[in-house]
Amino acid sequence: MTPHRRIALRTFATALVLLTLASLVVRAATRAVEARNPGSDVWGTARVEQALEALPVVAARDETQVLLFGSSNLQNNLQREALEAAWSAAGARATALNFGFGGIDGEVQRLLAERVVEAYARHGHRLAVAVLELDPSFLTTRRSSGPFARRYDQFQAIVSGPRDFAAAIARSPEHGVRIAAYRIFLGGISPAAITARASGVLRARFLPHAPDTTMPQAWRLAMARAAEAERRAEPAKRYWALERDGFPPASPELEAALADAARVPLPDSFFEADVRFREECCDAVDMRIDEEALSAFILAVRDLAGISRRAVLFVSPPNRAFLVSPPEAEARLAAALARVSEETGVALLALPGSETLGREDYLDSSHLNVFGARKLSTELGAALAPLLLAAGSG
Amino acid sequence: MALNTASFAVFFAVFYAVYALVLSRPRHKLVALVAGGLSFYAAAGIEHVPLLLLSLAISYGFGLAIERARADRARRRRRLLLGCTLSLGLLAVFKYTGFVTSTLDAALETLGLAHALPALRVVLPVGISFYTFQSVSYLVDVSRRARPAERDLLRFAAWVTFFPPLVAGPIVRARMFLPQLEKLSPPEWLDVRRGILLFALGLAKKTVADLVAPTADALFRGASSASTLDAWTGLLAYAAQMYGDFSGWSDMAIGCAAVLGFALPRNFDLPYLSASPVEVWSRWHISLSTWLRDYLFWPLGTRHPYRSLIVTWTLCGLWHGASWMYVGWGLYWGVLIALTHWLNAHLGERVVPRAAVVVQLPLTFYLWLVGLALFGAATPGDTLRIVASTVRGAQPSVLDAAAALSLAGVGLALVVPHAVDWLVLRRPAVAERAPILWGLALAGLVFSIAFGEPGQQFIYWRF
Repeated sequence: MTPHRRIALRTFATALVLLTLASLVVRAATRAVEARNPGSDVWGTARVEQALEALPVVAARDETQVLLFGSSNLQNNLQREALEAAWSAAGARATALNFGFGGIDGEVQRLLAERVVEAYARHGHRLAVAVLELDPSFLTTRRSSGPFARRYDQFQAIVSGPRDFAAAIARSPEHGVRIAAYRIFLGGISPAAITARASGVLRARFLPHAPDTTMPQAWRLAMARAAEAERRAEPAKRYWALERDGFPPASPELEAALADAARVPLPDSFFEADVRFREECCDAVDMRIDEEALSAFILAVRDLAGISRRAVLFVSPPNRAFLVSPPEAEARLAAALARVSEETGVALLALPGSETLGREDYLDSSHLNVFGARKLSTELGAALAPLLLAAGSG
Repeated sequence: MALNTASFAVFFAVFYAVYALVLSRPRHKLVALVAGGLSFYAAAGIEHVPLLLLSLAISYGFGLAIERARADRARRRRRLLLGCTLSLGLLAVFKYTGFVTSTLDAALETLGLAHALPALRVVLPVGISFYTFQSVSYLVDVSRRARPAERDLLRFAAWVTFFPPLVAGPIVRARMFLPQLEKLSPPEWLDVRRGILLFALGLAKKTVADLVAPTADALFRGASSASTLDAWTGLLAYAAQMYGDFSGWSDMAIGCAAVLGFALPRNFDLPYLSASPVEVWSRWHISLSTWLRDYLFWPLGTRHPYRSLIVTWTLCGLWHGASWMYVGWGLYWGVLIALTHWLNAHLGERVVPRAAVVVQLPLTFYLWLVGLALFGAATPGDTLRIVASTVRGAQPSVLDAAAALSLAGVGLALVVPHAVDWLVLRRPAVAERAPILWGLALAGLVFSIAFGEPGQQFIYWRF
């Protein structure tokens, strides 16, 4: 063997050892930080990871299931009890599965749908009904290329399978290799998330908690009670708890505290700031749709409709007191919905009652408070009941 | 393709496997170097590869032409002038067309002839400044008979397209690199170890630069409302960012080259420990400042050295970017350097006591920060406001816990990279002990993997 080859082999071996050691150290350090700070789910990746872990168990159950698949609007805006009560009143019985996830995009939705389909195909089970939420802010050009675009990479690293990594590398070697590296070296967490986590830990340790004085005192007290009640309801914080099928924890104390918070009128400036943030991150007002993201969402809808007896498209009602889109943006949304519907054969579920939701029903520009969530869940439950009965779940 | 990307890691692993494990004949290795360099360059924009090849052809052809005119001084000078004009002409067209037209347009507008010129947008090919400077230095060296013209086109192309320094330096002169390509000797394990260490440390420095960048950006965005504390925190962050970004790239490029068996010139030597403006520029971007000295300052002549210095540094400013702010920045350094030389010549170094270094170090660093305010601000007004804020801010400073944490972070970002570089450069015997060397390399990688966002742009790619 030539000296150059000997040195090259030694270099490769050294680089491999160094990289392996470095990633092991980083993973161990990240886990240690997580273990010491169990409440921190940076950017929502833990909820996705836990949902994927739970998926084989959920798919193996022999029961009538309704899959609610979408954004943080579904994650937060729906109450399981209200949904199931509405079904029960109509003579239908089903389990609601909350697959609403915040902070992802159309491509991650497509990959998530693939994982769901694989899990159900393994057991030969089908969903009774799939409610597929189109959140326009997930599908905008700004979301794909804006300031938070890199965040979706770590979700992609978590939900991708080997074929998805290969496809991503073929599409864009830089992007594909990066997400593969996140998965291999960091277990799916991006360095930006680690930085955010570390800075959160540093801030918690060194910076005194400053109460947000722009918010009413009664609201802050109620939210503090809610946080305590949530901790009591679920001491070991889980983001996608199997026994709640992905719905947030519930307890009378928690509900009472959240209701107290919801009764406090919030200042306009709070809602306006939230609209500005959503505009900046994901073009929530003008909704300029990214064709690639929309195509990915269409694939997700097609996949999930394929394992469901009935499927419907759904759009969460925004807080129209603050999040007002111009007519051309509404037209863009309507065109996107029409295209999804046309290419998948899945119709839009109309909820006329959701139009009556007022600013007092919202906790920001798109998420509902407990009162709004109850109204929407009851109406959605009633609208889904005939589909459930038609799917044979009486 | 930047050196801090996952793509580069894959590219380098494949390239290195082919170069070092598969190929054994020198000619094959040269072909691999050229193919690797062109692929690397094409990844940043395949449309600019013909430009690189054109620049290569000009310097190769004119190098031979200049050598053939060895006996005829006038002809040799004409050929040198034409070769340099063509090389620099490419740079001028791609880098300065927009600048010249916008300046002319502004002048015409002042005369009441608004929008007289069409707006031209020419995309700046990455690395064009660096390979143009290399070409010019080669032609001048051949003309000066500092080295013979390279006849082997393959070897010449391997030098021009050598990928680690191709897009952001260091500037590698032909007389340093071509002899290495003639030997193509395998690296010593000690050099490879040093290369791995430099690459890991460079990656960590780039990570530091990216982490402090938002603090610096915040200052330049809010220049008019900065407090004294904001101004200092922001400028120190920018100093840490610039050093981490550029010396990080240089370290990675030198490290990669070392692993392949090539030595590149050192580009940074603890610049923030300088005691005068002259010293700063003998420690910062050394390959550029020595290039400017050898190929611009000396040809401009030493009859009026201060004038030559100011012209040289003003052009250096223009090289950094096609804008009047960069020209002003170059002029600022030209005046400071000329003034330092004048003071040394007229007062003599003896009158400055050794203890004065305690004042000289912070003063020089402050002058550096003022230069950074010129370099990073959008307008001269912003620069003045930022510099004024370092003495008296637009708002009172509030040293709360968040501000203290931010300042401490920026301080660490400045001190730690310099401390590590001091160990590597000044105490190599210690730094190269196996436990320390591998410990540092591992720490650099851990830091970069944990906190570095791969693919963040390098500032010097713009130049």
